[in-house]
Amino acid sequence: MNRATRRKTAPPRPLLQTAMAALGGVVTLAAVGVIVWEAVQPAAPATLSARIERVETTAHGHVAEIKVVNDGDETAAGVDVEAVAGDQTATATLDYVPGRGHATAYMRFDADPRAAVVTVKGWSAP
Amino acid sequence: MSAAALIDLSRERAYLRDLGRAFGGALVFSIPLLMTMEMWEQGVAMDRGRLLAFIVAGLPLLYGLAYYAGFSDRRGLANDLMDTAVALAVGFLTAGVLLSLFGVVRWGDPPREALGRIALQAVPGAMGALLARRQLSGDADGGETQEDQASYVGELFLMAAGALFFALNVAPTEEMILIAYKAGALNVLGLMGVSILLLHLIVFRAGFAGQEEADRPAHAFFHFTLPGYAIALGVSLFALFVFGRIEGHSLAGVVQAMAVLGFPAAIGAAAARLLV
Repeated sequence: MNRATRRKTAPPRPLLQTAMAALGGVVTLAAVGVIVWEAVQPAAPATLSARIERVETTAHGHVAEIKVVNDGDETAAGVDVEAVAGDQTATATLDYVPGRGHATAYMRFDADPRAAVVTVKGWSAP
Repeated sequence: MSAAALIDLSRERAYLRDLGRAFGGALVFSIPLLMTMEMWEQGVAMDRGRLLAFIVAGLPLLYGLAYYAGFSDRRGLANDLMDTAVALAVGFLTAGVLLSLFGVVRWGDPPREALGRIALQAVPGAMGALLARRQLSGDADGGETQEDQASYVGELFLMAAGALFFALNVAPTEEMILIAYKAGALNVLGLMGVSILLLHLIVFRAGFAGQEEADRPAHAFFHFTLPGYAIALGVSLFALFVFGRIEGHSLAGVVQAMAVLGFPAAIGAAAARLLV
């Protein structure tokens, strides 16, 4: 049977097919729209800052949760973060901090690190 | 028209089976990619122009697969377009649910990050969904699709789809570029020779070449093998470009990486009849 004949005799379309096709169309167009919008925005270089969000006291010292925020548009890779509390220095490396996003690192200290100075030392292009 | 006439439960149930097959196909094809770390990273770090190129180039490819394979019995332009859209819905849902279950995409993630990770995986998932009928159908007529009557251009399209099917599974990984660094010029030349030889043998034994071509291996070589290898190399170059694997490389480095990825792509192109 050829395609034309089949089309003429085709039974009505299942509602589920119409609903799923609509979902696929809307989600794809929305995703493409957002990505186009992102692509045409002037990209600001990665701008990273770090701060202590919380400190947990454990049996093996104090663990500081460090939030690294990227206010730029470009993603930063291999982000080195350093925190200095008194005479102790702790470091951590984050694989990625996405543009306009954030990532979390954890550092361990012997003494309470609430007053620690946290800095982002460097990163690379992904 | 009454609601009962509008909703035919047996018809809906039959379509639900097709849809289940589509989700199965999406899983079979995209699980290796969904569980590849580089794909998660690329979703975040990939240049948005490239991500867009990948999705936009994927749309006609998906339509072609809906035409030649698809996951439902229905055919025709409108149905193939709808199958393409449904396959994309299946791709997005599969990627969204599984990446959430894996903890790769989490509630509260920046939208840019989550969207990038899911959208990048949706196209391969949709490809798998559209190949479901070929891969998963247990019906006696399950394999009878437009692909069986494909024209020469159609055969070349299917080779491109097969090449992409294989290339996508390895292109995002670090290993591709590492192999290109490790392999010397002679290794790469050898790999190209093996790619062409295997492509020819598979096409000859199990692929596109019909009896007529089987009687004329030289004709089959120029008709299918060489164009097939060129397609495999083109698909490899595109995949490497999309995943940023050729950035900062010299021309020689680009060709080397293309030839390395061209090996799995050539096998995929040759096996398209079995896969697609």
